[in-house]
Amino acid sequence: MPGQRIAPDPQPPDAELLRRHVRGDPDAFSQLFLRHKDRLWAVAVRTLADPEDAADALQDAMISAFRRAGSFRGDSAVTTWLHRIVVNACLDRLRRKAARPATGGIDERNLDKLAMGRAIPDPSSASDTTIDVMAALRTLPADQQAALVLVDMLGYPVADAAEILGISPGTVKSRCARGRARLLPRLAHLRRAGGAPPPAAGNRSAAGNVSPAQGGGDDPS
Amino acid sequence: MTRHIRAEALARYREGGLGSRKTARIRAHLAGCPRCTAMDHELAGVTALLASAPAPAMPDQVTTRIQAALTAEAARMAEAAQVTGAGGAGHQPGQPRPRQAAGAARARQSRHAAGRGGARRRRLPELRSPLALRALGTAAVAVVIAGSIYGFAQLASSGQSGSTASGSSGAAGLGERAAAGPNSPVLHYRSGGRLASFTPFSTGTNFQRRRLTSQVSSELQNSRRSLPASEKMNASPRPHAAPAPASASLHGTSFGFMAVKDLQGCVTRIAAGGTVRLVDVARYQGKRATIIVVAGGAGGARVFVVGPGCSGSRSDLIAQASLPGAG
Repeated sequence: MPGQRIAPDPQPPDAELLRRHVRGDPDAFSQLFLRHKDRLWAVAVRTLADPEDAADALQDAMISAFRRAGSFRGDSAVTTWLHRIVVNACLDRLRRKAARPATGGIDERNLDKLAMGRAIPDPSSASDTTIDVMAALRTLPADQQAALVLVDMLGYPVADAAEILGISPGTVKSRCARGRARLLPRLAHLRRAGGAPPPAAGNRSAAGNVSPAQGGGDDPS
Repeated sequence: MTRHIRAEALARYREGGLGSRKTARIRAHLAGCPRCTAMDHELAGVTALLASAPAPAMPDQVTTRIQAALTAEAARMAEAAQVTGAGGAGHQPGQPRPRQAAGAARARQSRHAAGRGGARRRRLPELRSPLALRALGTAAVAVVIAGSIYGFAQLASSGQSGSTASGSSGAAGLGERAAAGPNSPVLHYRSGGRLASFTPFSTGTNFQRRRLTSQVSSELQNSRRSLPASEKMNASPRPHAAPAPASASLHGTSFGFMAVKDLQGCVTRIAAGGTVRLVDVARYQGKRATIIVVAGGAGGARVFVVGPGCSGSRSDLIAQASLPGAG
């Protein structure tokens, strides 16, 4: 029935796209993917560090979401659901990798390799600070990495991170806290190197639910 | 007040994650201890450092690759539904929701005719009935033949995807098809969000590392020479060589040593949104390899040599080179 054209609405909500996909619209899921790809990519590439791994995990996750769309119950937002599938795919890989001997080295520069000179180069990928931060992050247990990537690196509110990770907000906070404490000595050289941001910069995340110590008098701004 | 605060306790304090007694104790300690106050600031610095690593946008290559995988998955489900419907081959493994598969099939039939990229992929191991297998085999041949003759014409008239697949990629597809001979399948890949087509060669050339660029250049020359009037073909595509069904059927599931499914995925992955100028399932340094030439800037091109393991999810890249722009 090629004549049947549904009036195109420019921005159907995520849930509607997912419903269309389940009903058999062959383009709906692709639209959903394109809409959220950069955020999902950021989560994957920051969780896994290696862009090739991140691409593999993201592809697995998208195929999985594509197939499981019918089981989406609408208890959470579609984005949260997509994030959860991506994060789980990444953590699976991370744990599998942890079981193998470490390959060593940080793959931040692989972003360029992956691009093979044609795709969009990542202008920030070669930053030494980013490489060092990622290297330090890699030394943490996977669950702490995942929490810090979402909350500190990408600025997700604790409540959202909790939903994505399927844990309580309190657990997100304690994983973040333990992760930050472990990172402290590993990132000391960066702060001393002069690139140290003032402590107040930590309040960047105030837009989310991440509140620094209440009444601790540690907020000089 | 003599014991300093452990980093973890301080970090949890900052999250408000401690009980009131501990919180009060830490607050009191911080008030009189510069060392722990400094650590408190350093913890804030950790968050700031983490936040300073910017979130990169998804590279085009990854976008293309995942879109191709989704297209292939949609086609796979559509086929699963077709097989289930036509041959009664039963429920598809790993497909808990036949409703969706059926929907995808309907949508594909109505809107995408023979135009969708992965539609020619056959997953033979999933078929149970020999009858269904034979029926599907015939269907596959039919689609491939139709694709060979009318491929782009149908693509162009099949609505949405066709309307965006304009001139250049279509012309390239037709040209390469003509050069490749009548029995080659027409395969599709995604190019910048559009569906484009290519026809693989199997020249039997044994490409050599040192002569790679010159060998590829001359093959490009050859393919161009045998093209019919290039761009004009797009306006009125005519069936100029009817393929023999028997040999076409050989290509239904594999081409040379490559499964058609993997070859399509591989080319989509390697092309990464660029225009494919040549695909030769051949040899490199005596070993099985596929040569893929992707148009680059200023008339130049990039040559990729991939191994037999190349597919939509893996590059298996052996070598690559650049061709200077000279047409």
